Amino acid sequence: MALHAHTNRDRVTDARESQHLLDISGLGRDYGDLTALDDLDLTIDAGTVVAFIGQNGSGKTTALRLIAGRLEPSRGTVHITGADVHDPQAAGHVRSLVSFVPDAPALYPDLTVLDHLHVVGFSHDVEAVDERAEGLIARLGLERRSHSLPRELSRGMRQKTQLACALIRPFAVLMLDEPVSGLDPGSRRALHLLLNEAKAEGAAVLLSTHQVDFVEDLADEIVVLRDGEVAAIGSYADIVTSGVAEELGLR
Amino acid sequence: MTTTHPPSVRDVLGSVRRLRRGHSPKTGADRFTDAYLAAFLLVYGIAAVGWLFDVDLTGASFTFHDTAIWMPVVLFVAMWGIVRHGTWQGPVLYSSPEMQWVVSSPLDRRGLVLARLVRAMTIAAIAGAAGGLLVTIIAATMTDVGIVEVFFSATASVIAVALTSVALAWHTERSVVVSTIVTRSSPLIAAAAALLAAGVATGHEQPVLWSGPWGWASASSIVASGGEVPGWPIMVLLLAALTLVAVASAVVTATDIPDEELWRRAEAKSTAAAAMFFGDLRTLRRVAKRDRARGRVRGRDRTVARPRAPWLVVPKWDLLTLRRDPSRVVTAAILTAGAFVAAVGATERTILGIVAFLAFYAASARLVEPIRVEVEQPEAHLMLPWTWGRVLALHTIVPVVALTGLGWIGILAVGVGRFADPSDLVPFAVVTPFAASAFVLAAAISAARKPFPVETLVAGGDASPVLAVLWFLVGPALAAVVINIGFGMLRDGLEGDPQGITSSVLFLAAASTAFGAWLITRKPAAP
Repeated sequence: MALHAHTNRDRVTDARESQHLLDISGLGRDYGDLTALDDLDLTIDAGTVVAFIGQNGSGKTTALRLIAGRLEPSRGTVHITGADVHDPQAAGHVRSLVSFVPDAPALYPDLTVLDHLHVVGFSHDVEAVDERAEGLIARLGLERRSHSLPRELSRGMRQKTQLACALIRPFAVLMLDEPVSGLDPGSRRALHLLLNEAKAEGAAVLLSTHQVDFVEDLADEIVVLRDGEVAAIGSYADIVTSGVAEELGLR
Repeated sequence: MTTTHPPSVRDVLGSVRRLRRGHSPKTGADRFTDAYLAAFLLVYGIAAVGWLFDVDLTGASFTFHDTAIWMPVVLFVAMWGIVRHGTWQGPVLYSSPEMQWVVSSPLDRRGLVLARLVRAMTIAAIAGAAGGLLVTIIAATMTDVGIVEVFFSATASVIAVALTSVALAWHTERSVVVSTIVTRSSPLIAAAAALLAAGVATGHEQPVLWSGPWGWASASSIVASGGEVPGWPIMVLLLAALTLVAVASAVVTATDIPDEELWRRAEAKSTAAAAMFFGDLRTLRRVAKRDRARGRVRGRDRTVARPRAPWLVVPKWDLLTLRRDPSRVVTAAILTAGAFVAAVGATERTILGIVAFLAFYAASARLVEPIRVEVEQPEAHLMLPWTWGRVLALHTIVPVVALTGLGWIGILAVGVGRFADPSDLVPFAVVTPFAASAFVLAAAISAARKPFPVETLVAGGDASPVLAVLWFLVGPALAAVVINIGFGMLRDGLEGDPQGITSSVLFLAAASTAFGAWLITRKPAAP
């Protein structure tokens, strides 16, 4: 059983040098009569940050889940370094490149914060796991809770643990669904820095949020969603100038 | 300025009761059904009791004394069950809405607690009286002594035990310390009950002064039905005194419970009710086993060490969690020991073979707990580089190794104890890893499903109960088919078939591989 591809790190390194890391074409998803997302076209290069913003129910989470391969699309395709993320044959390739942080923290109840980082790090064959884990724990302000179980942590602490798990492994694409919710200002700043570092190292970062100020000096491209459709797309300045964010009450 | 007195607890609770009834008023048909049911139970109950009193077992090979000596065991277990109930619910129990609107209001706390405590004690007394009646019926069928004496002594003593139990359950409910002690001493109490039962079964156990209330309560009934128990009047006095002290102390401490505990119990009540409605036995068990010391998980300073290969991190993680909480292995060891005891006697009795099989399966099901955790947290595996099915398969490694180890220990014990021919045990030892794999993987396939879909119960019509039973039987049935065939081949081998043992190993290995392949294809529930 090929439980672990030996070339994961190579894959990630190659992907981080790709011009078109993610290619999204005509992506859409229906739930019965409801169209949660329609006709999303996007090309994302390595080393860029794309933020999906919009009101509740605008399709941000659906977009991220579709791009991560967690949801089957009703139409359209998503390719990562040329591989279709919804092709079961490419599942291993996609998992080795994509690190996904769901909106609700999904942690193992019998593992402490430190255990989580070790399990994730070792499973991805990360070198110097101890040092990396300690560094992430310190930067996210989890030092005093590193031996706590998830049930003993607040919502924000669990969110930070989930973020640390996503960041300790190698990835070419980092997807974060509402990463800022539940975080205190200090942790928001730490996350901001970590995401900027990931971007500088060549990873593509996709995140969803309804807090426009968080992505002001972070996102290279902002996709504004309204009722499942792309209402505007462009840089922060473009979005502000167009007035869409204000119109939707996001600013 | 006018002074208003707060309403009495009795008035408020009565008002709440009336309001509730008002929301679902009974129709004439409802009242008729209730009356019909009451009359039905009364008529048939009286007839059944009358018939039972007429049954004559005085000439039977076993006597009332043979039966009555089991009374301490029954009372001990019942008493412990009631006290244990106090660790998560207890006699003073309000629902969440009642907590919100009644207990949080400026009403006399003592009155509120006493209202529930008295209700619980009344129910206990009624149950005790029913227990006394049962003892009387048993005595009447087996002895010629006056049933009036038996009835009064049995009823009074069982009521006393019931009231004492409720009082102790209250003390458990109101005190975190007592509750922790009760929870943590459960394995010891279970062992004590087993010893008590073993003492009775081997004829070495009689109610004596140090027996405790369960023994004291039995003494007077045995005496009233013609038996002999030295010192029984003192036992009766001891039981009466204990009951008085227990009930008095419960009443005196009626204000002494924090709101937090009442809230916790109200939530446990609603969670348990929902779990029972949905047939979610796992949640029910988790609520009932609530450990007050959950925060005190040992061995947190040790974490997972770097494995030789990335996939080995999952078995290492399972070993780590087992080291922190070995209860799964302990339970599996007890079940495996029971299975071996049954298996040794199974050569003559098929039923013991079934018991042995079920105990082995239960041990496997207990060991695959990490798979249930994956089912409950279907998104957690996204942190790992493997598909959900592969993570599940990796979680079966430690259970297979553990069950194999327990199996080999059992076989060694059987050999050392000379319960079987040692030469016969070698083939069993060879087959053990493969049989353990089949058991564990069958249990894993069952555990990898989401909880029983309640919509099946609703939409299944008359077939619903059958569907529910089939749902829970999937794992045992898979294991039963494979183990039956595999051990059939092994038996042929022991009886002289030269290919029997090899066939058994190959068959069990092939079946385990097929189970494992199926497990790997599993996908988590959609988010």
